[in-house]
Amino acid sequence: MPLGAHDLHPLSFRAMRLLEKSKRVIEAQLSNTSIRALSGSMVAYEGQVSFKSAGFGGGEGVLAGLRQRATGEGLSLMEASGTGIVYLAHRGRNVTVLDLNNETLQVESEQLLALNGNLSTNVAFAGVRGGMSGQGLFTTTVTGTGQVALLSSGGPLIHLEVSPQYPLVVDPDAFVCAKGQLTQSFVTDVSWRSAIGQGSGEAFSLKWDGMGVVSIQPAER
Amino acid sequence: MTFTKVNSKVVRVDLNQSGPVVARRGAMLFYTGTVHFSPHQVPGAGGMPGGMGGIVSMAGRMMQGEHEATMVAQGNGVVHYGFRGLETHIVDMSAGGELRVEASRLLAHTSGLQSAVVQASAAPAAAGGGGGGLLGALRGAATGMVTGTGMFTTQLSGYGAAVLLAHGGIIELQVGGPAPVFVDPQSFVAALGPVRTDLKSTMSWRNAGRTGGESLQLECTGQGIVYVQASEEKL
Repeated sequence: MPLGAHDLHPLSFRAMRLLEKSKRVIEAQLSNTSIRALSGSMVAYEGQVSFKSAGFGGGEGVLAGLRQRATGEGLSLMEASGTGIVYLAHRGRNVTVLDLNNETLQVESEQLLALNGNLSTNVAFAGVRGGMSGQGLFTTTVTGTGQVALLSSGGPLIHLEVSPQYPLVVDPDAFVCAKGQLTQSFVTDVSWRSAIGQGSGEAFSLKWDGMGVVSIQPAER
Repeated sequence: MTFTKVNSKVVRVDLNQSGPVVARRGAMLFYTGTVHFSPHQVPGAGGMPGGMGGIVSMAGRMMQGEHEATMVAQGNGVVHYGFRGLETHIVDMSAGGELRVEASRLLAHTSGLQSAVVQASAAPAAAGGGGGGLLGALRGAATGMVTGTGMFTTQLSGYGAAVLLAHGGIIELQVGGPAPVFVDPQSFVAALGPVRTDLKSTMSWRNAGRTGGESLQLECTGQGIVYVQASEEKL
């Protein structure tokens, strides 16, 4: 396919499109290319496609396995390659496709459904956050140019803009991903009330400062 | 349309237009008018007092595997059906045809449709293409356990309409185009028309544990539509 002058995307990017087939199904078009997706998330495919395990989100090889063990950021991916259309879905949850253009996305590993192109995943230290709520100290990052398909429970993702004047505070259990020049901090609202069991249930929150977009889901894990 | 959607999860049917409607037991939400519900029997299924008892019934049940108890609604009125908050999908068969559906994913159908239990063409022993011997047996065992769909499915044929259940909604895939269609057995809901489903395994000793969780696939060939749900959840 020739690259049109009006087309902003590089060729390789177009050849591996992720589309929202329905609210809950992602359609990935392959033409002798491959995408990575959550293991077991294929619901159907057309054409000649093969699947193999593509390891964990922490990078390549043995080190990635160790890192997964150490950090608890579990992300088991498979690689679908060939020519055809693959339909991906997971437990009837809503799906959203995000475009990344040489950017880094911080994402909860369990919300990641698929990624294509030259995107690489890694596990990074995210600072002390949500320690009590099971959201670990580590976060998965996706870097590069391509598309990411994310899962959200309870409805479509809600994108919230963060600007320097308006920092954003979100519930760690609803947080899905963050993109842009953002710094994360951990807000606690622990007082004597929490100590005697009269807390509001929102004692720990994530605060985002800077410039970017934070996405949340309308449900709490 | 015989069945109409009230929202994505509830369907209504006017019995005056549709005639008697067979539905999964317990799926009726509410009705208006004078409607009578009575147990309904699928040929070959057991459990009906006064009907086939004993061994025949038992054999029927074994054959069915996971047949769901059904009831038939008759009379004058409008009945609303829904089940466990699952998404519904209406299949129009007013032009005739045959629908093969997992018993657990069938919500309701008009009684004009002949329902029968048929052997899914994916008999575990013959599955996998070249899967004889120990590995074949293992695959067969794995199939039943993994998919939970068993060897038998419900077949509806004739003229009418049916309602499917799905977790996370349904997508329709056309079978018969240039590209072959494969479906995750856990996401397979139903097939309309002369569609043959064969269970294929990409598993071998070589790639055991490295198949990316997609070692079993249903290959759909023929001409028709397959219905796939957006989830691997069993019902």
